[in-house]
Amino acid sequence: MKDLSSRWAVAILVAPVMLILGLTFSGNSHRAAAAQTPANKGVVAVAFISSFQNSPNAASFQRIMLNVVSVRLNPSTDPNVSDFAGNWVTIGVPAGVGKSFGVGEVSTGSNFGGNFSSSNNNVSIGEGRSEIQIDLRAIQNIAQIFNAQAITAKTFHVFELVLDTATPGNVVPMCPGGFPAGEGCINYKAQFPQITPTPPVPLSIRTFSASGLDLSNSQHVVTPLVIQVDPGLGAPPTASSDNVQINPSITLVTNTPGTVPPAPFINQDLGSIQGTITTNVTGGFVAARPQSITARVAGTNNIVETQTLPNSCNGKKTCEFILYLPAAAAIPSGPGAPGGTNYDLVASAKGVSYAVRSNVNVIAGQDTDLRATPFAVVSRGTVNFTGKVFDLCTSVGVQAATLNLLVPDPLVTTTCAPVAAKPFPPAGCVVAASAATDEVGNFPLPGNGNVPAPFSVVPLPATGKSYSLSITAAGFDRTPVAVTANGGVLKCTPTTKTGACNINLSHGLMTVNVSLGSGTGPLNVLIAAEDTGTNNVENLTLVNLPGGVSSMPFTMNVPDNLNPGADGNSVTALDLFASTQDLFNGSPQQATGHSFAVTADVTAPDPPSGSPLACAAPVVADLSGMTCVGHGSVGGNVDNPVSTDTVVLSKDGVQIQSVPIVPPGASGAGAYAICAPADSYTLTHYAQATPFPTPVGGPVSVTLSAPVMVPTPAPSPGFTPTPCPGICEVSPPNANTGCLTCTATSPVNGF
Amino acid sequence: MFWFLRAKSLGRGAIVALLSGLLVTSCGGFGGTNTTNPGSTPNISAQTSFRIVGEVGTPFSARISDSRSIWDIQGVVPLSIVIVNNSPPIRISVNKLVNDNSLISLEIINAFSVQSLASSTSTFGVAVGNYGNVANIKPPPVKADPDVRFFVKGPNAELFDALVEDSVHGEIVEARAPALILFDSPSPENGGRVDANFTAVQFLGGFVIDLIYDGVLVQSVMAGTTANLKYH
Repeated sequence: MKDLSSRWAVAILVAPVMLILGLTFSGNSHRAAAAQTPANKGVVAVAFISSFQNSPNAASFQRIMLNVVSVRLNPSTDPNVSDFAGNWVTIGVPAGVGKSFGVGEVSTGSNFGGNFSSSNNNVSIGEGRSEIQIDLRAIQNIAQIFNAQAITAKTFHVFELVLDTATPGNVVPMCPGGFPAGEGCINYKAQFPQITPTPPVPLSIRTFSASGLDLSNSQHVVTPLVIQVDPGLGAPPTASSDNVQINPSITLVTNTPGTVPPAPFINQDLGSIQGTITTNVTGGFVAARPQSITARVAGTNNIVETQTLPNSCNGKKTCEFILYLPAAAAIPSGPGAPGGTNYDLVASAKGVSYAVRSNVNVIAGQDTDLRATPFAVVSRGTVNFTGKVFDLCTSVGVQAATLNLLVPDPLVTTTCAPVAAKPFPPAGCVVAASAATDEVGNFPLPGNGNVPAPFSVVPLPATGKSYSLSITAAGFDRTPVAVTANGGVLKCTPTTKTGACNINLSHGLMTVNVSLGSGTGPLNVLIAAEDTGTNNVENLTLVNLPGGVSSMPFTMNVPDNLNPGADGNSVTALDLFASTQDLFNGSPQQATGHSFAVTADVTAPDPPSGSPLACAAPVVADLSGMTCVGHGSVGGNVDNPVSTDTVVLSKDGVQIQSVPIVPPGASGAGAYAICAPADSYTLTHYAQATPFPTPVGGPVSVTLSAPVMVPTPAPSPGFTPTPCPGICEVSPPNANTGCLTCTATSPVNGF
Repeated sequence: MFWFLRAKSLGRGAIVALLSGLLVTSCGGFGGTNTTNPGSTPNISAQTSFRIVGEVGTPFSARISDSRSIWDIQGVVPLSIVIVNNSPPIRISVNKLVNDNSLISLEIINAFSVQSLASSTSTFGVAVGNYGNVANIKPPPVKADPDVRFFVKGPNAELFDALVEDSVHGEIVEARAPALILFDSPSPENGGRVDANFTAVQFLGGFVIDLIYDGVLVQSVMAGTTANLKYH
């Protein structure tokens, strides 16, 4: 063993030496990077928007996904520049994972063993390529930024979308309306067109722009590279073992010269925000403390884009910025007017206060001018903010808790402190910084030498002022904590320490008796608890029913009856639902084939009590009746669609699924698509509203069509049929003579 | 003591490797003198790993099972997960723990080959996947025993190499922080001793690594571009 260790040590330590020689450390991709952009570089944000003009069968699919590796850019003016030519710049699409350098092999000249290559002569050290799956249904008519990177400030003309060559995508068809057809609501691999004689597998999908993407004059902005992707979707599968053909194409949504100074360009799928930042710091803005401006989806901690003020601002006390952000189209009047997309903005830097603006409306192709009211940052000490989140019942650290530091927009409110029976966070409160806990409850997770950790540069609140820290974790009460300055460090109230914020999260317990309506395990069952009458899930957990077992109790964390809901009132009851995680032909599927089990209006448990504090006895509830009924699906169009509208599927008053509609302006606006077990439900059209989504009209009832047996060819000489797999059963009845296949339900429209 | 002796061995290897650099391969590679007779060690099976990416910071829970162990994990995007000493087929379910439409994308890798991807943008959505046909495996009755996890929390995005060992078995891993290394069924010899040596590739900062053994944090390191962790 010791010998093996030394050999491995050599292998491990040689690889870095070799890799380092080939590494460049520039271009570290991180959308929230706060370093100033180098003089010869521009920051490009990769954004995708989908189109289905070349996909006439798109309505037959519930989900259409591409497995994206990267986007490549080349400054060549030759549309056919070789994939292997120089000057290609690669931007990985998955954010936060850095570049993948592939595999480095250390030749040992002997059978080294113990490696994970197929060769016995090499030790292979490397990592698999990073990819991300993008659902084209989710980015119709509104672009989404996926990653940003600083690259050489040139004009690029050739653009490539690099997909996984083996499985470029996956699709989920709706249940078929005619036969022959494969099973609906299951995952199919996509494949590029199969042409004979077999040509080389295409490396990528390419587009050329004569005007190009000009970064040479874009030093002071993050320049979005908006790529419209059409999957070129083929016909739905005719058998469950089929692959579905895709032939993707891309087009560059060009940035055209701007007309409103200092906007260098406009883009039809983006809106722009112009603003001014002022500082009272002696010497003004400086490169050592880059001043950043961050845009988050309004009311959330989801960062869409971060950029820093340009070098030209250094030494000044007032400087302007412009942000380009994905935005929905304008709606001139009626429901949803004025349209667009709302963002929260945060100005932050080392040594200065936050300056925030809430709910800024941005409309595609238009400019929002905020310059009349500057973002005023003032000199302020900034400190590191750390701590730990505990389970109040057990004193064990809480994993994956989210901590959002809320700062009031002075134009709307003066405080983000919770107020009884009022929505929390209050209107006008912006998430200025966000962090998460690690596996033992400590926060924040580390940064690195280039990207600081979350909460590492938190300005001390002004005298007499405080921040509100909102802590959420699945299964726990949403917990607000006041954060104040105390002698040059931050202090949480209530907490036991100064300088490190220790927070206890309250919760209760619920014991759910899970039982199948028919059949036995082995089976995985997902159990969800949500605020009663809403789609606000509080916790979700996976239970294993062992082989031969049809029911078992399971205890999960749920918020107690003091948990503040979105409206500020305590949530005193929960709705429960359960679904099985079924296999189809040996692969787990998202859409279950068993009916849902639901239980509405279960009393939430009491909060912890006693000394020492302990959780109250679990509330007991039943979830029963999950029966194999097969897949079903339903689609249609809602009336008066707005881009953030959803359709909710409910059973016996319990909301189970919420799916977005196709936004206005896109082909098929108002369309929705749902996969669910063949059962009876209600569908409700919801509009986004604060604090809750509100129904648009009343619910409509629908019963999803049951699967039918589609006969398979009879055995004949030289032909032996393969048994058809089923969604619930490994060997469904009559699998040798027919395939149990789900069928389409008549569209439900106009609600 | 065992680890001390091993550390000395690693130190010699490190010095030789770092000084030799590219000369290694041009000299016919390390092991040319073959004093430890490395040629007799068979290859292990490929490791299975996962990348969970999407909206950075999105919390999730995941359940991973292979033919003999189950692991329950909670974390935030992005996270790489590697199973050392894995035993396919492998099944994974990743559940978003947040009520928004942020994207969570699951990538399953075996050796260096991408096997499949899955994703969800639904509120509390689920992404599922597998490596190998899982139709005939039953969920094991117990969770991983012992449950050994090395959590390389930082520096963020650091590329690192690691040697993960028990008393009879060692594997190398290359991944990028944050990464969770699950050691499936380490040998019970020597009281179930496990150890790991980590080496940074990019030097983006000091390591922050936890070793969690059966749910208990047994060792943490918070400095350096190399790190050694052990238990027992």
